[in-house]
Amino acid sequence: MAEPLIRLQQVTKSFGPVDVLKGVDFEAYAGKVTALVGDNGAGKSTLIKGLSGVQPYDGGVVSFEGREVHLTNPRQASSLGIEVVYQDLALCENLDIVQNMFLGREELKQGTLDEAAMEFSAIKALQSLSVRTVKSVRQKVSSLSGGQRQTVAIGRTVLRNAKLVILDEPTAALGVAQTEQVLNLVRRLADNGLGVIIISHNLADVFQVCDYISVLYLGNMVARLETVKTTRDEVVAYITGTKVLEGVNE
Amino acid sequence: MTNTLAKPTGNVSVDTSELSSAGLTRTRRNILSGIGEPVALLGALVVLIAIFSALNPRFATITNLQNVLNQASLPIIIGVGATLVILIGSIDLSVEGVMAASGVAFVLMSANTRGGQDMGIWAFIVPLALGIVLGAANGLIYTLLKVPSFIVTLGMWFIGFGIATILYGTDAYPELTNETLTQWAAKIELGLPNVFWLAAALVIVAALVLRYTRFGRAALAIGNNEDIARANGMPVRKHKVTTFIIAGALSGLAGILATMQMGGTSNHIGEGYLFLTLPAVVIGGTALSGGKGGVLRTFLGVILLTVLNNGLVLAGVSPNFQSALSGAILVVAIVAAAWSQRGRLRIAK
Ligand SMILES: Nc1ncnc2c1ncn2[C@@H]1O[C@H](COP(=O)(O)OP(=O)(O)O)[C@@H](O)[C@H]1O
Ligand SMILES: [Mg+2]
Repeated sequence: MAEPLIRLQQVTKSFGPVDVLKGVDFEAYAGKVTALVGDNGAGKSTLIKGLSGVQPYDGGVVSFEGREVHLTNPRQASSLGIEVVYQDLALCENLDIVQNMFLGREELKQGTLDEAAMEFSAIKALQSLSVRTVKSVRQKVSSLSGGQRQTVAIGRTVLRNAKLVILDEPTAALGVAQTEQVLNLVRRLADNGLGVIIISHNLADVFQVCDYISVLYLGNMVARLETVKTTRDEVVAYITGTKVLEGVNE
Repeated sequence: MTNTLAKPTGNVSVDTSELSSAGLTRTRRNILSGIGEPVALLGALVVLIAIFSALNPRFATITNLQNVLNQASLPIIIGVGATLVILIGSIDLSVEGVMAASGVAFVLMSANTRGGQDMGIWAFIVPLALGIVLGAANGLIYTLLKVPSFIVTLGMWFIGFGIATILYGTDAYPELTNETLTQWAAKIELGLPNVFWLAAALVIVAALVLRYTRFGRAALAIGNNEDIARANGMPVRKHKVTTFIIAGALSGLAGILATMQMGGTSNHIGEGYLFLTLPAVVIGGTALSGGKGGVLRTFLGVILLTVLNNGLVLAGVSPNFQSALSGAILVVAIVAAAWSQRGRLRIAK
């Protein structure tokens, strides 16, 4: 198998006396969607915050594109090509789609905002994801549905030349049709060659769109499964701790 | 959907028909969107002008118009700073204190009836610098110590007033002796008072900055949600400090101009300006919660309130009634302006 885009080896994280990540191995590949599942409190968010640089790990080795990296702040993670789409989406409601997609990275021409170029790139990015749900890129975000907002947030990662996109519960607040749209978008990200990590509680979503499933249980990575070779029951067993992978020490 | 992508500018070149076939069309930014409130304001202005013209023929004369614009100029200048501050969801209550400090410094450094040295250009530079320093102090205390801007700037109001009082001392009221200075503001140039040209220029510059620069974009983003702005790498602290520096500088400028208009100054020179300006900003449609509004709206708001005051005087309303009446109109106007957002009105940060 090809080299992983990102590889975590024995990463640890503690908050005071509480060991939240107890030596976790994890990897994700370019062009593939990897699910990160686990019960509440398993450590999923903590694992992701380490990857995004928001909350650096205490120990372990992180390699990105085969090179060891130290992820210590969000800007640096972003400059490597790691982008996170957070649950609350981080969009400004009073700004339009283009303005949000370029938030904090506005393009300039002679010192002033180059709206035409930004609009053009935003459309290109959305088009690369075959987005059809957005009528005008000059709509304000406040007028968009939850699914359209996810679309904008995901499109923004493309604009930022992300290599690895991490999505935290991207469909949690969405209805059936919109969930479908967002999952299609996630799939298309991977088909465009990006690595995708998706945190989800919804196993139907996971089985529909993911290539691999990694299961965290109380700070340990208890399983790394290929979606086509596993079953929902098996994943549930790992999540609930009724099944424990051999060789993983508690 | 017949619109297609605008001609790619620069070196971007993509088949535009392909893009529009994806259902994404370039849309001209709707010029009419969000113009509802300004139109309502203009409508109110027209109505007021019609009523006051009917009540007193002297209202609709060139001389009175020039007078109104002269009176509106300082609130407009202060309003530019206030709008930049309110856009980010903060508030600057130090205006009158800064005006006093700058005004007194200005008169004492210019040729005046107390004697002393005429410092020439320094009589302008030092008061402006004073405004900048007080504004910077506002911004730094606000952002570094995370004290609400409401509290910090209220404190700075007292500090400014204190500086003015100390500088002023106990001598007689100092009047400017240079008539070029005392007559500059009201002097008519191309049909309009000098000070109004200055105010209008500042409004235009601020409007362009808000519309076409990263600074303007950051103001809207921070006003909407500063955590999001920060998470996206926007320089939130720098923006806030810069904004308070601009507001301080404009207050300092207003202190100088007020002194020139009055022909002299005391430490009370700034009194009443904040009370006129803040309602004007809100009536103009800039939301106290931040993220929405602009300086052109503030311009309209100030003109509206100034016309109101001027018209009431000319209509022969007694000064006692006048303040009660304009207060009542203010309350109604502010409630009307804020009505659509009453659900999300929060106390200014
Ligand atoms: N900043 C923190 N301080 C203390 N404990 C924390 C902190 N962040 C997370 N934890 C704890 O770490 C554990 C894992 O949390 P989290 O990573 O959010 O799990 P998940 O996202 O899988 O639900 C929880 O028990 C949580 O209480
Ligand atoms: Mg979580």
